[in-house]
Amino acid sequence: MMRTLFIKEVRDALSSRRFWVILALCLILIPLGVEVSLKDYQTRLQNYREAVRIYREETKQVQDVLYKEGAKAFAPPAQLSFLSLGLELVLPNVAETPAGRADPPVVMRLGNNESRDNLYEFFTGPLDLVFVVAVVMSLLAVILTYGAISGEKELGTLGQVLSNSVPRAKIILAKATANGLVLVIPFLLSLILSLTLVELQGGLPSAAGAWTSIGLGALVSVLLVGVFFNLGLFVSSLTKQAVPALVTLLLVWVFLYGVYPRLAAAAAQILHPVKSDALVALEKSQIKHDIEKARDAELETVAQTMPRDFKSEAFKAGQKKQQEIHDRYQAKLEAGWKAIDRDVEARRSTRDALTADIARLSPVSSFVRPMAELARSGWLESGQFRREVRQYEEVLNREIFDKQRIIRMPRGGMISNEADPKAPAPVFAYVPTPEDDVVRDILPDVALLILFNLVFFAGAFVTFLRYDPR
Amino acid sequence: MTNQQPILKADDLSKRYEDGVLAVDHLNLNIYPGEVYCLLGANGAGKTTTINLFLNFIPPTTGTCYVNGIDVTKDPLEAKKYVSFVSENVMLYGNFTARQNLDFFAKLGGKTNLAKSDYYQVMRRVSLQEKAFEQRVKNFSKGMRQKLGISIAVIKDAPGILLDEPTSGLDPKAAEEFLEILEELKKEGKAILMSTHDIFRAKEIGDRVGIMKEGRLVMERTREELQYEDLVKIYIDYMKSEPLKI
Amino acid sequence: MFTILYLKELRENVQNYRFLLALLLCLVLIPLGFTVSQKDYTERRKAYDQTVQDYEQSRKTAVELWSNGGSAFRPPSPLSLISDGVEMVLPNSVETRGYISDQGAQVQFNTSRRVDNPFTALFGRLDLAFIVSTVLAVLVMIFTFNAVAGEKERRTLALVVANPVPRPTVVAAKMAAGSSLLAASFLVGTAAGLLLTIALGLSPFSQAGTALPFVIAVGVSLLFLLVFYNLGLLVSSASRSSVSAMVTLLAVWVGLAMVLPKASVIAARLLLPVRSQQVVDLEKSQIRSQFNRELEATVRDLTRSMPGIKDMSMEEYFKQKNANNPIVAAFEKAQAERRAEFAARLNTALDKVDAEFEKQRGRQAALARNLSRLSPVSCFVHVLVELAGTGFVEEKAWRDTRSRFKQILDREIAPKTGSFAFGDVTYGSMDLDSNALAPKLLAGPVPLESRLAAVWIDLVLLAIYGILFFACAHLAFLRYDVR
Repeated sequence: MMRTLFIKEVRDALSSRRFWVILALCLILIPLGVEVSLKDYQTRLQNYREAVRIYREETKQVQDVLYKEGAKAFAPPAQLSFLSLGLELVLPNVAETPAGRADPPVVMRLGNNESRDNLYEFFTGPLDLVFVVAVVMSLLAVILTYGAISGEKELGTLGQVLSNSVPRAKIILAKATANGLVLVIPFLLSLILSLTLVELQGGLPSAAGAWTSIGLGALVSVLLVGVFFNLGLFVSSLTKQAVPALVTLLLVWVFLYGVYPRLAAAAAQILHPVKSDALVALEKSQIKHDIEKARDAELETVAQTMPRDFKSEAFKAGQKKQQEIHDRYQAKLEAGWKAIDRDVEARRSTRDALTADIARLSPVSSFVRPMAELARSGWLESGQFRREVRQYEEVLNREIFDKQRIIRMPRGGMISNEADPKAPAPVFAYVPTPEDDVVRDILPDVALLILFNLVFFAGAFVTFLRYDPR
Repeated sequence: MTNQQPILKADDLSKRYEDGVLAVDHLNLNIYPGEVYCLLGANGAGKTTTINLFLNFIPPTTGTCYVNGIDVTKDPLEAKKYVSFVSENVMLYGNFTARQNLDFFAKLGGKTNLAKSDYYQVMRRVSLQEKAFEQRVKNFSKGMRQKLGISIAVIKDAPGILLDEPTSGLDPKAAEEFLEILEELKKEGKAILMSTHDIFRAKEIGDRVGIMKEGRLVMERTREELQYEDLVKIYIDYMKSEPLKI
Repeated sequence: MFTILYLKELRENVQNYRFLLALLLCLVLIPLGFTVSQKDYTERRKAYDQTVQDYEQSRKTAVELWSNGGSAFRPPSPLSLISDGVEMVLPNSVETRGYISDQGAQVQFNTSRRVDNPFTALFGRLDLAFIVSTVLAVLVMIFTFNAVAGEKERRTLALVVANPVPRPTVVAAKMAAGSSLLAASFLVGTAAGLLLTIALGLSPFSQAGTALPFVIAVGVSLLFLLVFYNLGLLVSSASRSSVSAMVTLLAVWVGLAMVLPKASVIAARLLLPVRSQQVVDLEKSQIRSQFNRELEATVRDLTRSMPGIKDMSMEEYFKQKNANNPIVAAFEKAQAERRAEFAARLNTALDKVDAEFEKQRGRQAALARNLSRLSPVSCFVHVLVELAGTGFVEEKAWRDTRSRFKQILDREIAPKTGSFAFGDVTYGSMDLDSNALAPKLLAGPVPLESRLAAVWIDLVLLAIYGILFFACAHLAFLRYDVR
């Protein structure tokens, strides 16, 4: 019985245009999207390598850091950005110290250098896998299933089928599995085709972790398509006619894809506001200003007592005292800044977690966010970059900037740096987020997507058992 | 006939819909093997509801339907093995050919080992044109579709057959051919319940004729009894009389 | 005849769920979107005001500007509720890098983001452009997909056309009725949105010059809805069933609103590839380094060859300098001449690099835009984004700001600084009047005329698309099989 029903569903899908249209769309859009995203990544990779090369040529020694362009840290572009361009154009991927004289503690300023080159792309959005799945595949799932039940009822074939000794559970199971395969098989085939093309063109740089992420990305994509598929079955079994089912599903899709995630971001900011970067910077500079004022007053006092003879003992003693004052105030400044940073970071991560939680109610958010993390173009990777920049900062301060010696005199002063100017400049080496962290981060969303699938299918199942075929 | 068990039996069957309408009012029917029972009535008289009750598409308010002695609400899957159904407007799967539709429904009905020739034979039997056998159903005329519908019933070979207004919209020739098939099936011993408002055909084919009005079976006559009465006159008289109190 | 049909269409649409749905969606989404955008804008404006205030306090004089660094700030766009555009990724300010020397000021973009919530970057904002081009577009599809095909299925179309009614009148009445209901819902929603923002103290008109662009944006949105409505009618009149009409419309919408714009970017990049800004900046710094090396060599030669100077020791030189020895003065003057010449050559070289790069980028961007104009949705969002002041005109103006700021600094400050080298020691002089005010650059918004001038093509195209779709819908309906 199941075999008969299943074969009929498959044959129905194949003999109508549905399957072939789905196959064609998948075979065109997915490899196209992957290919162009890959080319785009390769361009950005080339730009990154070029930038790093030029920077390293110009900044070989400590004196280059101090007197030339300063130190820079670059994050490589996300190699799996064909899965999801994510926040590549927005979150920081470059950090630099101020050029010219830099007073310790030096804070590297984070920025993003991609967006200027990709302004129009930012405007239109990327043609990555996330787009193809969240828009095209989801709509295809809806188009495939809106008439699964109400359509057959309208035709009269449902009544004809039910006049036989066929349990309703088998009918809906056969529909779900057959149509599910009609949707998923072209998708997976296209994905495999795209990845083969990627491999043929030189593959992906670091092998092992990449394939796990790609596999998880495929799984999450299939789950999202499944959500709309089962939702389609559910709505179809709730309506008497096929057309209202289609209209309803369309509205639901627009809401889940477009409206709700945008609202979630706004809601979280209202519920748990975080000061903007600009205001935080102002606060910090205010603190610095106050501390420096107090410090300079003390330095001036000592300066008054210092003789002009550079070589005298009194001068050297005064210099030592000034250094102590410097160090003391510097520690105070660092402590003050660290406190602000900690506070802001805490608030920011709470707000981001809150946003993620609110947004999760839409399966589309539970899909888009994990895909960005898997592609390494999301929050985790950016957070990793930030952390590594801070570590690099510490090295720079310790080995270069903290060795600054200021001598304050009644009219003016002298600045020198004790670090060996010819010593090699510290180099920034980027370490990506470990695979496990990413997987752990996306697990709740994966679980939620599975839950959505189950709930909608269960809804369809239960409703169909009592569906009126007349 | 009277010593056999009825294949299709309605026992004090009533159906009141949620909006209060009493569609079927204490209906009693017994249809035996080898007989055609025509259920006559105006639109909304309750004929289609009766058929839907036999198919367990809706539950009865009171009373029971039996197919081959099985209570359709208690064991619907078992009961459905013994009944075939031809709807008023046979649509079927438009992208499938006639044979593919027949093949699918035959298997659903339990006949899993039939060959292509068996299908062809059945379709020939119902006078469906040869060239239509492998054509997509969506291009069929109404007559062709009704023939395909009855061929599905034929191939299932169930003892009971339910037909809902099978000749409505058919031209006289197609309707005649259809009734010839029913006659053959009757001779094979099938119990046939056919709802219709074609009084002429009802008189021709029906061994017994029942008139439903507002859910009630107001009159039942055998063919012999009818020979000496004008069914048309009876029908119209009953239709004209006072509406029954619900 | 037209009136009869028009009224019947109106009644039909009002009585079924569609009109109510349109009204509800507009009344909920538009005020919500406006309020959230305005709230966000208020925060950004506050941050901007405070930053500018803080900056001006510590850069009152030119000397302060020289020692603390100079910046020019970009105010956030007050009309980003119309469209967020590229506001999120535009730099907040331009600033000097290092000290301003006699070689000129180095002015760079401050690329630290104003985006504080990455989710907004990932999903976007609920601005007017999104609501109209996505939510209302879907609504239009729901209104139109069975306008013709559905009536045919219900057999009422045959009934209408069986009367002495000219077919063009039928389709014109459909268009007029449906679009007037949609327009009414949209206007009601927009009005509600404005009222809500004003009531909450978040009025978008608090800045000057915001009312007119807003009104124009509303008008263009109405135009877009009309264009899309005609497209829907066209598809419905070309389909045999309402379901296939809906599926076709969906495919067309996804293609026009999403696939085509993205594809045009990709095509432009493949056809006209361009280096990245970062690489260009680094190339420029290489050029700078090279020039500096040459300059140092030249100055060293000068030091070794100039009579009187070449034999001096470090101590002797500074002693002579403090004594205002004319030989030292002449030496410094000779250096200054060399440096000025190098500065001029350096700036020419750098400008050339910039100009070439801008030209290439401009060509690529223009190609992408032109290709994407094949979609009426692209034309629509192009116009809205410029009206909102968050688009490409703004971006270009901002890049010009960088050059202008550099020019101001090069004119007012750079010539007053001097840098001299003797041996390994570099010393500077500053000739800035301690009372001289710091040069300021207030980057104002681009005037409306310029913004509109950049998108007049899109406006015209939008109108053409509307006429085209309407004409085709007419034609299709004239030949439509009503049976």
